[in-house]
Amino acid sequence: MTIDTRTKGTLTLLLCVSAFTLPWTVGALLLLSTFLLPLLSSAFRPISDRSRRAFRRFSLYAAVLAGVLILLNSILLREGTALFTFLGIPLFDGGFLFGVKTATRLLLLSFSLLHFFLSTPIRIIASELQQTRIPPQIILSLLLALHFIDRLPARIERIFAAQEARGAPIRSSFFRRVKSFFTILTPLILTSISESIDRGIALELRGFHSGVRLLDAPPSTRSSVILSRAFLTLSLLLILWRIIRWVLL
Amino acid sequence: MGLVVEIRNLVYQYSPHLPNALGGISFNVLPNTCCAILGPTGAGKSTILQAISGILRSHHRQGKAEGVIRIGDVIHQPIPDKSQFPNVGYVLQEPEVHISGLFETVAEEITFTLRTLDVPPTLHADRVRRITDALGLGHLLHRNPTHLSGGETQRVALATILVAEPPILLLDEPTTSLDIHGQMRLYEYLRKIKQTTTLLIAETNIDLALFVADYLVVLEGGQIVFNGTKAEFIQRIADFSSILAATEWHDILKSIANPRTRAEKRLASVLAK
Repeated sequence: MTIDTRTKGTLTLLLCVSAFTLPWTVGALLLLSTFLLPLLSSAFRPISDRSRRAFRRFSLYAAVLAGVLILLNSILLREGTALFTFLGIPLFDGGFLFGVKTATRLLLLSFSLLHFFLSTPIRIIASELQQTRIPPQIILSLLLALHFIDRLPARIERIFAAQEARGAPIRSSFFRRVKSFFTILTPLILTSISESIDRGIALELRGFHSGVRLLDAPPSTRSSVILSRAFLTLSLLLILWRIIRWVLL
Repeated sequence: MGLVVEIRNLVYQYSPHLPNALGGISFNVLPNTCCAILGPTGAGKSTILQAISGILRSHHRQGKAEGVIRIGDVIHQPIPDKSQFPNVGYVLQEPEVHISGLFETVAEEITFTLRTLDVPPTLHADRVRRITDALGLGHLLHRNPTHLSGGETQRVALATILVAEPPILLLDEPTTSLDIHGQMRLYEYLRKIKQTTTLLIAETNIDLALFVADYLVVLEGGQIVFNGTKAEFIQRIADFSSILAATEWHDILKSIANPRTRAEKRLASVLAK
């Protein structure tokens, strides 16, 4: 199935909105369907080996995080009856259900976004945003933020390698790695912000201004316009429905 | 053709709590000549280039400037308040920031500059080919610009600016990421474009600066301690040994007396002239 970036973007928006507006059972079904998306359409397949690796790694972390979330809720929210005991600690069904609901919502949100960003080159996102008449400066800020996220793992690895070269046992254990990560977090963010500013300056030095088209985007087809408008309308209706329900109840 | 750059009594202070980064400096760079700005770290080399390019004013709003900068026939008092591109091309010290990350090939990255200038698309391929041939980038045209070596990134960064054919080119330590062959190649190229471009180069590599510069300005603590021709600089070369790196001076004096490498022989022949 051929799906263009605009349709993909609005579908992602709809899935994100669904995560917080529809019942969690529907959310769970939608979560399962996000895993089918790459099988149904090449538009949702990762664009590179790096993206594929990132998806696998993220899936693993997400599964661990969901497990921890459900476990903690089952232990801490002492509602309903005890389902079973884990290392001598009782797990309650009320907390378990709340954990499953929360994990489902978070996973649907994160996997929808992940599928979109791992299957869409930054330049295509830029050209599509440009077509929506968003000012180039805002698009550029978004791109710089995406660029920062893109380069973050490589930058962390480089700092870790430099620390290791100086004899610091960074990778000796999981906890040391986590501790080291927090130590480098502040300088990492500050240097990245500084680099983003420099990138902005470099673009200004190349004559970038508000009238410049970043990229030439292919014209949208009629079907993609209809589909993307439908997804956008559905998203807005879901938000509206949620607000009305919240006000009335 | 290159344009004149004239700086008169330029004073710049980044913030009221800091001492002046530039303390009333004046110098001229004539069209189609090259001026090398030398000095230790923090002397104010980059500040001068940023002031001329226009980004100093636009990115340091709290900074205070006095003086005059003339670029061609346009007088900016005290300094330009926006980017002077394409009249002034400025290549920053960190070449990787010139790679936008928006494009998949080096050719597209360089072409983007032409798009910002509204150059007709029919001319893009020719302009890009000319600059990439001159900088030896022809084999990289279809490579991803974010996956290049330091030297290649430096040359692509330069190409993104030079493709606009700016009459004034500012280079902030352009040889930092280049090996000796890359440095010589770049300076050979700069000597060539000097025929049509005014060059200002902030450089710590003194022997390379001498290779291409007609005038030299030596800065220390935001003040000019030397402003003159290459010949005058060489006559007073010993006066600056305390300001600039001693090891470099030792190397320079040694290479003038007894040139061994290709670069040293070239330097000795340039200085002999």
